[in-house]
Amino acid sequence: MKQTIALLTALTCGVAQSSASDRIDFLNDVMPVLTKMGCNAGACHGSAAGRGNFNLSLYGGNPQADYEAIVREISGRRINLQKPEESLIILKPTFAIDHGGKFLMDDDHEGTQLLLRWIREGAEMVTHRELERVEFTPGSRFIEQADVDIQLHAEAFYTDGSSKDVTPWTVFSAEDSSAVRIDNDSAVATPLRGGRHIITARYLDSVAPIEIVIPLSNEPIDLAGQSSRNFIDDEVLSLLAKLRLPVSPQADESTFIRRLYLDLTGRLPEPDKVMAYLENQDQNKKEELIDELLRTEAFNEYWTYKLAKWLRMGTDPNDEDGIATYRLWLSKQIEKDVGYNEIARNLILATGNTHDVGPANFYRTVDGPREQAEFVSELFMGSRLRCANCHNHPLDKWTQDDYHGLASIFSKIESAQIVRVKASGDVINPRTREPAMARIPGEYYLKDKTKDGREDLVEWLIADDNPYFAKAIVNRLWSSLMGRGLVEPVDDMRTTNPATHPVLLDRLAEDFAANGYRIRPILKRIASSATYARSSNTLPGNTEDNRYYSHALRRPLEAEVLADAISYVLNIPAKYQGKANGQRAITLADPYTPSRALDILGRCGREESCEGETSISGGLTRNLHLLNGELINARISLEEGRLARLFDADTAPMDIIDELYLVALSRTPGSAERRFWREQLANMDSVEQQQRLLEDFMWSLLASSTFNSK
Amino acid sequence: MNSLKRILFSCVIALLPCDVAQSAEPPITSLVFTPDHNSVLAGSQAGVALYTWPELELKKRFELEMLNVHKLSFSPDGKHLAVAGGNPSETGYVEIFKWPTMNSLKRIGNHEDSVSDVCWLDPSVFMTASLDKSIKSWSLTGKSSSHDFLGHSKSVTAICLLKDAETMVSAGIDQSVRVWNAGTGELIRTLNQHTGRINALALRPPVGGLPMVATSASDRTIRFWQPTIGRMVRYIQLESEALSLVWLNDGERIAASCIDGHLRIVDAERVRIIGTYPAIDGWAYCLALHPSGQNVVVGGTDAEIRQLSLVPKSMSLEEVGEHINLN
Repeated sequence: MKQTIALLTALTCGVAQSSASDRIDFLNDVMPVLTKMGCNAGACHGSAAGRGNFNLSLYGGNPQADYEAIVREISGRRINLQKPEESLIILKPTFAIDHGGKFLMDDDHEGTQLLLRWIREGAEMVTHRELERVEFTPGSRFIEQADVDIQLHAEAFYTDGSSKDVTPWTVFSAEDSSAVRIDNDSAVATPLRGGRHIITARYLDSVAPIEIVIPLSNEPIDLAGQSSRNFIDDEVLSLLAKLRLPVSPQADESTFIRRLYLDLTGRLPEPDKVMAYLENQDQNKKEELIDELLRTEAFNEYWTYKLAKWLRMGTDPNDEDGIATYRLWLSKQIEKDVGYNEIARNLILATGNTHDVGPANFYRTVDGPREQAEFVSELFMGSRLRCANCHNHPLDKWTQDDYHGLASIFSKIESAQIVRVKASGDVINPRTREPAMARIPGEYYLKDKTKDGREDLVEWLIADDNPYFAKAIVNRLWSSLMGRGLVEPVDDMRTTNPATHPVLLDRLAEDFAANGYRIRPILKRIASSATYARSSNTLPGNTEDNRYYSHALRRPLEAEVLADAISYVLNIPAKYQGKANGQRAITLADPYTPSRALDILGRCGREESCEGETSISGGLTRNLHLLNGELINARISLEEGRLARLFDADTAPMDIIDELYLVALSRTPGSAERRFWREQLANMDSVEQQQRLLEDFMWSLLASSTFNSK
Repeated sequence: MNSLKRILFSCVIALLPCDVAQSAEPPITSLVFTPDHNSVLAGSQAGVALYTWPELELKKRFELEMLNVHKLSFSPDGKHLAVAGGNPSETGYVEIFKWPTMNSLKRIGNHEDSVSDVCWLDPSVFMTASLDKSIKSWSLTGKSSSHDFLGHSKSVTAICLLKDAETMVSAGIDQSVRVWNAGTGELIRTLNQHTGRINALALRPPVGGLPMVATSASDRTIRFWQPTIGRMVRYIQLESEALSLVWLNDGERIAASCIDGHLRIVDAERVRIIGTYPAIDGWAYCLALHPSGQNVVVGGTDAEIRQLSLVPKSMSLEEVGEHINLN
C-alpha cells in the first residue's frame, strides 16, 4: 500500500516538478549500497539467521522484506526519522557504535550520504524504474600476459529505456583470489598468473562471470600437427593453443585398451584381448574395439552400475525387492539403448507398486517433496536448486519460489510401497508462509492445481530446447571418461560456474540430442577422440594442467571396480553376504550389502550424490588397506588363486611376471623392469624363496597406483 | 478522510507545486490512556505526545533525550509514568515522570540496548525487558534487584506479571515464551511453539481458571498459553502479523493490531476472527484499550493514531463487526 502511494505520489506530482524523480530510490539506490558494503552477504546479515537480530535477504533477493527489516521491524528502531544521523543503519556501518561487521564506510562516503538522504526524505519504499538487465564487461578477455590492469564495468538497463553506470555499486570477486587481485574501489582486476580466471560480478541479485584468459607460457606453440578426430579435438586444441599449453602425445596402445575397457565395461581386458589388439594393424581398430565393447553385456552391467549411482539407487535398505526390480528395469533400459530422455520421463511419471514397477522406486530414493526437488534438479538439471530453499540462490537465478514450486509438484506423490498421486498435497513456501504454487523452475507457474504437475515438468525438462537436461548428462558422461567435468562439480552448473569449454559442452549436448539421447553414441564420440586417447604423462609446460585436457587425467578406480579387478587378477572370486560366490561388486543392487572391503575401498553410500574424486578415491584408509590390509595380502597365496595355479603348472618365474603384468596392467614388462625382476629372482636361493618373491611382486603390482587407477 | 484520500488530495493541490520530499513522521510505537481516562499518551522517536480523548487532538508534546520510545506505562497508583526505550545498541533505560506534571524524576536502568517493555509489580517496583536479552527488576529509587533474568538467547520484546505477583512471563525474538519466578529470577520453563520472533504478550483479565496469556509472532499466529502449567492451549493464524495485543474486558476476545494496518478482533475461545478493520495506513505498532472497554486506540506508521469504538457488552460476538466504527 505504502509503495503504491509512493508511486502514485511520484506519478501525480512528477509532472509538476522534478523533485519526485530525484528522490532516493530504495530498490535502485539503497539496495546496491547494502550489497556493495556486504551487509546482505552470507557472512553478515544475509545469512539465514541474520546477525544481531537483523536479517536481510541474501544479496537483496527480497527487497520488500529488506525494507521492512530496515524501516519497520522492532518498532522501526533502525531508522530514526526524527534524527536521521542517529539511525542505527548509519551508526553501525560507520562504526560510530560497536558493530560486529566493523567499519564499512565513513561519514563522507557516498553510501553514507545516500542513506542519510533517503532517511531524511522519509525512508520510503520509493522506486522510479525497474531493472531489466545488467551488462558486465568485459564478458571475456584474452590478454597476452599477467600483471595487466583490466577495468571492469557494469551498466544497468531499465525497462523505461534508461541506463546507468553501476560499477561503483557492483561487487567483483575472483574465483581464485591468489590468481586475480581485485580493487573494488576502482573496479580494476589484475591477474597475477596465466590461465583461465573467473571473476564473479554482482549488482543487486544480477550475477555473471567475467572470464580472463592468459597464456600459461610465453613460448609460441604450434598445435597444427595434432590429430583431430572429431569436434571434441577441435575445441580442446583451440583452447590449448590459446593457452599455449603443450600437448602430451597419444597414450600407448596398452594404456589405451586398459583405459577403454575400464571406462566402458568396468573390467580389465583379458590378456588374449590385449594381445590381439596390440597385434592388430587395422587403422580402424580403435573404433572397432569401441563398437565391440559398447555391444557387450559387460557394458550393460557397468553402465547400469553407473546410472544406479547417479540415481542413488538403493537408499532404502529394508526393501530389497524394490531395489532389485528397480535395478532390473534400469539394466533393461541400458541393454535396449533407451534414450535418456525416455528414462527420465519414465522415472518422473512413475506410479505403482515398487515391487513390480521399477521406476516407481525413483520416489523412494529420498524423503519428502523438497528433497525430491533437490534430487531431480541435481540429477536432471545438474543444478543445485537446494541453495534456494532458505533464500534465493546467491550465485544462480533460482528463487525460493522456484525451489518450493518444484517441491510442490512432488508434494502430491505418496511414496510408500505403492507410489500414487494423491488428491492434494502442499509444501509451505517460507517466504510467503503459504502453500507454494507449483512451478516449473525459472519458467512459469502451473495454474491447474488438479493436474499432476509432473507431466508439465517432464515435457519441459526433456524438450530439445531445455537448457539443462542434455548438458547435465553429457557433462557427467564426459567426466566419467575424462576425469573432470567440463563443468565441475557436475551437479553445480550455473552461469557463475561456467564450463571450461562452453562451445564443446553445447556441441556435445546437441550431438547427444541428435542421436536420440542415447548414451552409446556420445560415449563413442568421446572415446574416439584424440583427446581421450592422450597419455597421462606430462610434458614440461603442461604438468600443472588439470582442466584443459593437454594430457589425460589419471583417475582412481571406483571401489566396486577395484574390488572386481583385484579379484580378477588374484583369480579369487569375492563372496558377498547372501550372494552367489563370485558375484561381481558392480552388480550388487544394494550398495549397503555388507562388505568391509568395499567400505574400505570407499564405495558411495548414495545418500547424497556420488560425484567427485573424493567419493571414489577412498582416501588414506583405502591406500593403507591396499598396502597392509587383508584384501590383497590374505588372498595372494591362496591355493585356488592365480599365482598358486601358475606355481602348480611349473610356470617359469619370468613367464609368471609377464602374465601378471599383462593381466593387471595390460602390458608386458619393459626391458628395465624385466631386468630388475630377473636380477631379483637370481638372488633367490630356492624355489620357495622365488615363490615368496613372486608373491611380493604380485602384492606390489596390486598395491601400485598404476593398477589402482586408469 | 482516510490516508489514501489525503494523499490524493495533497497531490492534486501539489500541482502548484507539491513538495513530495517532505519527510514522514516517526511511527507511534506505544499508547497508553492517562489515569483519568481523558487523554492518550503516544510515544515515538519524537518523544511523548498528549492527545485529547476522544477527539485525538494533539495537546502537548514532551521531548526526550532517548532516541527510541518502546513503551509507556503508568504505575498502578497512577502517580508515575514510565517511558521505556533508549538509544539502540547503546543504552536502555526507563525515564520516570511524575504524573500529571510530567516532571522528570529519574532515569533508571543500565541495559546495553533499548528497553522494550516494562511492567509494574507495585507502585514502587517495576521490571524492564530489554533488547540486550536481559530482564531486570527496579525500585523507583533506582536500585536494581540482585539478580537479572537471563535465559533469552535474543532480544526480549515483552513481559507481563501474573496476578499472583510471583510469576513473570516473557517473550522474545528467540521465538520462546519463558516463565520465571519473579522473586528469585529462576527460569521455570521455556515454551517453544512459535516459529517466528514474538512481538507481543498480553495477560487475559481474570475470568476464572488458570491464568492465560496470548502472544503474537512473525509466524502470523496468536497463541494462547497457560503459563503456570506450560500448556499451549490453542492458536490461530492470521492473514497478517500482529504487532500488539490487548484483551477486551470480557476476557473472551482479544484485539490485535497488525502490520497491514488492520485491527483484528479474535474470539479467543473459538480461535476465529470476528472482524477485520482497516485502521492505519502502514504498520499498526500499538494499541490501547480505553478503561471503559468501549474503545481502542491504534497507532503506527507516520504518526497515525486512530480510535475504534467497540460494541456494547451485551452484544453477541457475531454482532461485534457491525458495531466497530472508525472515528
